[in-house]
Amino acid sequence: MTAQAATPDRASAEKGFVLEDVRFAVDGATILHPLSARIGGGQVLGLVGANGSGKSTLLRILARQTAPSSGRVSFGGRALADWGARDLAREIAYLPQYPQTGIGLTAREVVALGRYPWHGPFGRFTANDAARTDEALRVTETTDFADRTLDTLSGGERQRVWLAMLVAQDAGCLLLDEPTSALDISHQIEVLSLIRRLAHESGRCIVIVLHDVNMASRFCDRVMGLRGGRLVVSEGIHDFMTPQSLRTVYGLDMQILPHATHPAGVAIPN
Amino acid sequence: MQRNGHAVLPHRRAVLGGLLAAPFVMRSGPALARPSRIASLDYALAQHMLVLGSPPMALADAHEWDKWVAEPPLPADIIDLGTSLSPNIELLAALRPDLVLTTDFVGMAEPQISRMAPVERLTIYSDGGTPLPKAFETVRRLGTILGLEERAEAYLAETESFFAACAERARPFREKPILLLSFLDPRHARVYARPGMQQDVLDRLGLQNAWTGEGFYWGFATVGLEELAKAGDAVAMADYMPPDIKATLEQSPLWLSLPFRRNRGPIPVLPTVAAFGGVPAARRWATLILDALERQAA
Amino acid sequence: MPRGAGRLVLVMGLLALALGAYFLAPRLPLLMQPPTEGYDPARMVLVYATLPRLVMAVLCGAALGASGALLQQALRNPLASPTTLGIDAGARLALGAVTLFYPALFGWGRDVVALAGSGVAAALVFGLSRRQDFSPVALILSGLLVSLYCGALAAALTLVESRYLASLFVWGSGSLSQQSWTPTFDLAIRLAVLVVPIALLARPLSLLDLGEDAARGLGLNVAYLRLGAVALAVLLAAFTASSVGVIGFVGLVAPILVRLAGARSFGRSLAAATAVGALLLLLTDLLVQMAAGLSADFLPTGAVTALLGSPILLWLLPRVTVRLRKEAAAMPAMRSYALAMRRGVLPVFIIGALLIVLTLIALAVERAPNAEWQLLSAADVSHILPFRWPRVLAAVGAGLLLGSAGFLLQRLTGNEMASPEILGVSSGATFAMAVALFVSGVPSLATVTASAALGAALVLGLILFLSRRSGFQPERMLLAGIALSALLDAVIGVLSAAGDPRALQLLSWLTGAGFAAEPMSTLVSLALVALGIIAALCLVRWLDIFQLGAVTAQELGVPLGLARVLLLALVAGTTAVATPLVGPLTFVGFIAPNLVRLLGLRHSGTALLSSALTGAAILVTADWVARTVAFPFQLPTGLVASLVGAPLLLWLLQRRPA
Repeated sequence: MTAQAATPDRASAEKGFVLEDVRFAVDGATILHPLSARIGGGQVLGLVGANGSGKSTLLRILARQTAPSSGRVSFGGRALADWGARDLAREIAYLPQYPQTGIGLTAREVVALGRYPWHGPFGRFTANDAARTDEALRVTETTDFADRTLDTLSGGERQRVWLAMLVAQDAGCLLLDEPTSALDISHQIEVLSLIRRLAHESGRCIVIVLHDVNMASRFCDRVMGLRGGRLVVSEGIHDFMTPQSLRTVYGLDMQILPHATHPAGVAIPN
Repeated sequence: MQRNGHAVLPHRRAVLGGLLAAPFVMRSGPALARPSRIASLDYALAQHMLVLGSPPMALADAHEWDKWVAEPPLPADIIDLGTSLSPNIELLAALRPDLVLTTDFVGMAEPQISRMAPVERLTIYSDGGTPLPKAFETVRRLGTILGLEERAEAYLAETESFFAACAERARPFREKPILLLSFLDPRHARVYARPGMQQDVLDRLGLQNAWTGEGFYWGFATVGLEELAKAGDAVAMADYMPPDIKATLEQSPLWLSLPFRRNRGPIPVLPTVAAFGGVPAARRWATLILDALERQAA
Repeated sequence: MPRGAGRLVLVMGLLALALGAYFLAPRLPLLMQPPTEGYDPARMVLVYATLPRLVMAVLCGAALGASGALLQQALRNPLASPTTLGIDAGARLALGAVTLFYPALFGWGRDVVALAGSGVAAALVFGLSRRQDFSPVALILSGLLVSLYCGALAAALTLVESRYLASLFVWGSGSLSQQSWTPTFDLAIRLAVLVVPIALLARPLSLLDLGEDAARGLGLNVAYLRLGAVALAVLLAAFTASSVGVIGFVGLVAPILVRLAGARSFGRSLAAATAVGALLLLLTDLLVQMAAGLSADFLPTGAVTALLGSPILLWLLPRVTVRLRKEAAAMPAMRSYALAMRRGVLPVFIIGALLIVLTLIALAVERAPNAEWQLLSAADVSHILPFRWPRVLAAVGAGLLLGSAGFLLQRLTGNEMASPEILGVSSGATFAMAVALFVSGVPSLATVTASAALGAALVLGLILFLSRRSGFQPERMLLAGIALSALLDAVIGVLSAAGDPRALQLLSWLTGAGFAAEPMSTLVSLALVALGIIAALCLVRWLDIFQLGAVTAQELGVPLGLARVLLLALVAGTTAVATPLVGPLTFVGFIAPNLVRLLGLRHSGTALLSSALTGAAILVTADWVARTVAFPFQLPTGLVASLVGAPLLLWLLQRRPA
């Protein structure tokens, strides 16, 4: 545990984000105040904060879905804006909070589309692409309903298919916006364990927006806490799971109880 | 040089256009032999062929002749070609015509027709001039094509004396302007106006048109009925009035107060007459207008 | 200073007040004269024509504005308008049929006949969408289909019996001309009855903004609510159409203007749309009445509204920053019978074989000059085939093009209402063709084709230019296309209402009646068809990914702007080639992709080819039917295509269980 948490710099030089004074505003309202940070690989970074704290916006900026109003974002030593669309998609995968609904494709077809950054509009869909697709279905345990259309699946099944697509995309960096919101507790654990494994075993950089403090406590290595569009906390999970940090982020007094499998403990509001 | 320039840079559209235009270039003039299997896409030209004693073999919209033209009567064996704007090309081809008569209005089908037969375009209703002299001209031209020059001249001469007689008959009515209407629905009508065939007829009879505004070259203007107030007092008559309109009109306070209605009662509806016809239609208009005037005076 | 929609209403109101004062000031003193003082035509015109007409403009505009706002809210689609539900088309067909076959029925009044037509059309729409709980998609699709069907029948009647039905042109362009107060009072009473139910529905309807599930959670019966709202909107529009004819643009644009001006809550935007609709029509009619004093031309207010309004809509579009499209109405899940056909290329082969059979039938089965059915005789091969094969092959080519263009556009926009016919490219082609017709006076096929292609290219350029700032957002381009189409309709409306026979030429061409394919142009088009379809197949992966939504497409590294431009250019190019062949009004580009979707074909490559082949099959069949069924009349191919395709689509729509 400690070894993994202590290696934030391993990949950050080549494949990590560097944010300098990134600010975002809409119609004069500042959503995100100037923010500087480095986000590296091989770890699960949790973005936490109350509703409206700007965590989804920050994630969308990292995913290049939104351009910051000012400031610089670079990835792998290159300004984010300079990356080619497919080059970037091979490096960064993004799962929005509310993916498109009403899709008539099968789960397998959707997951296979995750291979697009690798074969592009004209390249062949190779045996390797097919193998990656199958692998993604397997690790997300979606093989059973791979041939059903997406709009016939339950919300949780659908969410796992989207995750499978991201896995098939095989990017070094996964940006996930509340990926467990539609899952039951056992699937939450499974999905987050999978995400954690992806980070630790293949050195991926994972940034995940979570609203459940205790899920963050269990699965994240580091946490960035936002409040009112400002970065108020950026620390290892053990430092975060303290009454002071939690109060800074949520404005709420909590106490930390020890827990058998959560090394950082669980937080209960007073 | 100019031509070379085109040849060096052949443009697809230019090539395409050229190919499309080819039928026009290749279109032959009147055949040397007298055509006998003639199809007409136009009522007025068919009228002219009928008065020259050489009816067409086929005619567009033939089945509606009795509803909209009536005079001269159409022989029953004339083949209907479908609507004039999109005649049945395959039927026409099967009939193997040796001449097809068109006008500016129905000229869209010419490229196809000219692949099967010579085309002669004789337009009466077009920009510039008025229809009656152009109608006279097409009678002469058809006479030449059919080898019936003398009959054409005789018919035109007879028409001149017919109009002269009509002008004599019209003398008592010269003071009263005439308003010629064609009703569309209970709120709108067409008014026949300069420079139309009806205006030409009124001019020949020495009568005045109560509508002094200009229409376009088909010779009518579309108006809301309230605008007829501009016509002032007049003798009004209509060549077409759908059955339900009279009842609605006679309840409208505005219509009842229009001078031509107030002073002269419900307006008479004329028997069938071609609105955009040839010389026979002009003669029929003259007769029908005079009949109506005399009936009202009686 | 009121903000947003309020400001829009205020500005328009002040403008109308100023214009109205200027217009009426010289006339009103006539009212003061004692009526006994002899006869005064000017006074009669003021009392029985000018004043009822202005009141009529306010009533009609208000009704249409409210109708549009209700529909756009209930159907969750900013492109919905009263015209979408077949109200005008039903009334038009009823008027045409009664004129021709049972003129005695007009004894009840033309407004009653029109109202009955609208009523039957609306009942059909409701009947067809009942099994799907009146879902927005079902209502819109059934509405478009009924509208298409009635419109096509009415247009076919108009072309065959143009002399009898000249009045339909006036009716179709919305003249407000009045000669008594009776129609105005009748309309006022009918509309007054609707005010209370609409007011009662306003609040529940606003809950739909939360999404259907949330609305249901708050205790609403969403299906019945939508049914009620749509029924009220239909009545508003049907009453208007029965009094004055078709005024198409107000119902679409008034709610859009209000939304652009910043109205958010539904109650407010309903009120504002009603006011804006009324003022829009009043302002236009004041201008029309003032212009009528200056020129003798007949100007129908309905068409002029679109003539003035659509450039304004076009001008506003790039300035807008709000999202126009509400949450997409999700398609209901496909049933398993469809799944059997989902995979593999088998459907492509089946539809392809069907196309070949249909093409052979179209070439060989004919009516003899005596109207007997027969096989093409050997003797006629050299005479008739040279005129038939270009036409049949042109139908194949145009069908392939429109079928694939429609599919591409529906995938690109994610809107099942999209079709190349409403992208505006066809309108551009038609516009240029109309200009050629009126400038040259004597149309030739070569000028027509060349100008159509030029017009399509110009419009494509214009649309791309206008959508540049929005990142080629598809919804905005659809709106731009609709504005352009409205502009075109308005021009044709003004011309045809005045009775200019050239409008008939134009209508004839629009509906594919002048379907006059030459051998060479046919072959060139077929070559272009092959190119277009190959190009489209190259982009199949993008089309697949577009189904996952714009965010995911971007996430996967699809260059969104480039992809949209390329696909759009392809759609516009194919439409531009197809339009001169069959006219812009076939709706094959709408019907074919929807058919394929209802068959359950989702994989882009298969669906693209199937859609193209289906389009070709529809047009070939349509052309054959057009040539033979009413022999010797040749019906307009484009219209018959609607008549052939719409029932197919309806049948599939019905087969899909709720």
